[in-house]
Amino acid sequence: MSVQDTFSNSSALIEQVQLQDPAAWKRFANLYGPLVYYWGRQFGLNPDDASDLAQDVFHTLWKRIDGYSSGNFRGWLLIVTKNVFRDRWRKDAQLLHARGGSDAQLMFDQIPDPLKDSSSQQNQQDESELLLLHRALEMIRDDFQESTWSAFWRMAIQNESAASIAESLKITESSVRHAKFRVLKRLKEELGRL
Amino acid sequence: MNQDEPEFMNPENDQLIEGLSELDELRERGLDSSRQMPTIHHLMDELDGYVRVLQEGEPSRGLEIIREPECERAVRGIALASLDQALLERTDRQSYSNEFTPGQTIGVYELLEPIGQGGMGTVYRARHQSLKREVALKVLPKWRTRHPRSILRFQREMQAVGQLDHPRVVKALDAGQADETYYLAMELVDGIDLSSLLKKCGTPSVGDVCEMIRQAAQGLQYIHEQGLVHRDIKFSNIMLGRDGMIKNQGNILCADCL
Repeated sequence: MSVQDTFSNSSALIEQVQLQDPAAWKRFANLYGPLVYYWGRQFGLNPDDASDLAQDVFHTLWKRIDGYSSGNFRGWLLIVTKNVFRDRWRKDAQLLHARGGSDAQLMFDQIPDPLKDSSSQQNQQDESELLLLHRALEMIRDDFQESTWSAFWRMAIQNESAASIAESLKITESSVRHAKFRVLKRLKEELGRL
Repeated sequence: MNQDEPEFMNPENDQLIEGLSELDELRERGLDSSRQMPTIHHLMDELDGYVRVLQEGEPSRGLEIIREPECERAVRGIALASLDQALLERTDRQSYSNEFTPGQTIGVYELLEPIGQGGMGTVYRARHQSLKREVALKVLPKWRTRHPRSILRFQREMQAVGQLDHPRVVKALDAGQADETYYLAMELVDGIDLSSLLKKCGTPSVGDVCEMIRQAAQGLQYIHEQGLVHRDIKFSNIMLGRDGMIKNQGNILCADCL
């Protein structure tokens, strides 16, 4: 399974949403709501409008979620977001120019449409993917002790060596690795299922 | 490091974490040539994938954006939508969390209608039952009270605003707790906020704008002199009363709470 699939298939979570599990819906909202809000802001919307966009998108999603079966979920979500944006703010398309100038328009056009060019997707600097991961990390942060989190962060994100972290935290190297994998495994669970 | 994480105490999980750690070390040393246990290698590759992306750094601009209060409002609106209904109801700027219904009382205040949504809670037009005086009642929703940090922040705001007494700043009148609900009663301004004013009437004359900003600045100056900071300066937090006077409102906190 490629990295691409890992991020784009939240199939277990979506399945639970399709089954109308309220807890899954809340988890889903917390994970993907901010991503849609972020896209809205990237399109040049102000915070209030981006908030409205996100809520409209999820309203639409709810109606269409049964139509999603598998494949690139994030890509599908982006398409729905763009469509909702166009439908509602089409008249305000010139606002894209007024607010953000041609940069905002360019941003809108350049947000990769993953269904089109899937091979280059992995190589593209897609901040959306990174943002989703960090959002998930924020959501699980409180489940871990400070020391565990610190070991994880320094090793997995700051690329510090296990030996160096072990020495400064006064623990064994294997404890450092354990911490890293505990968090990573939890991260995978957060993205994939309840 | 194990002790305080009960969910990870099951032996199966520990074995898995142990296996991953060992494999990680082997890989680091270049000693992992065989793939004898495909499942764990598969999982390892997947988790490595996350690490690769995470090492691209922190999406600081993106994180800044999703920390905006409007984002939280959106998430809350989405999450609160009832799945029992055929259609989701959108929480827009005019309709609010259905935790409180107009007519309901909080302490001695009767809620009349919602008039605003702050970062920390909803603001209602409310009436003191004995005094019959109308106020702007800021209410910390019950779901927030599960987080002690939220209560602390609300209390700090109450204390900060309670100290203020200036014609250009909305006054705090009362604060308290009724059942599990925290509230802050403030002066109700009979007027309009500048953001709405601009939308309704367009840009005022230069003279009017200067005068309005001058008055708002006086209020902010006073706030600073008290050692406080207005955390949320924007047009929707500047009120223009019917009497033609400007008042500042919004998120005021002690300066060292930044």
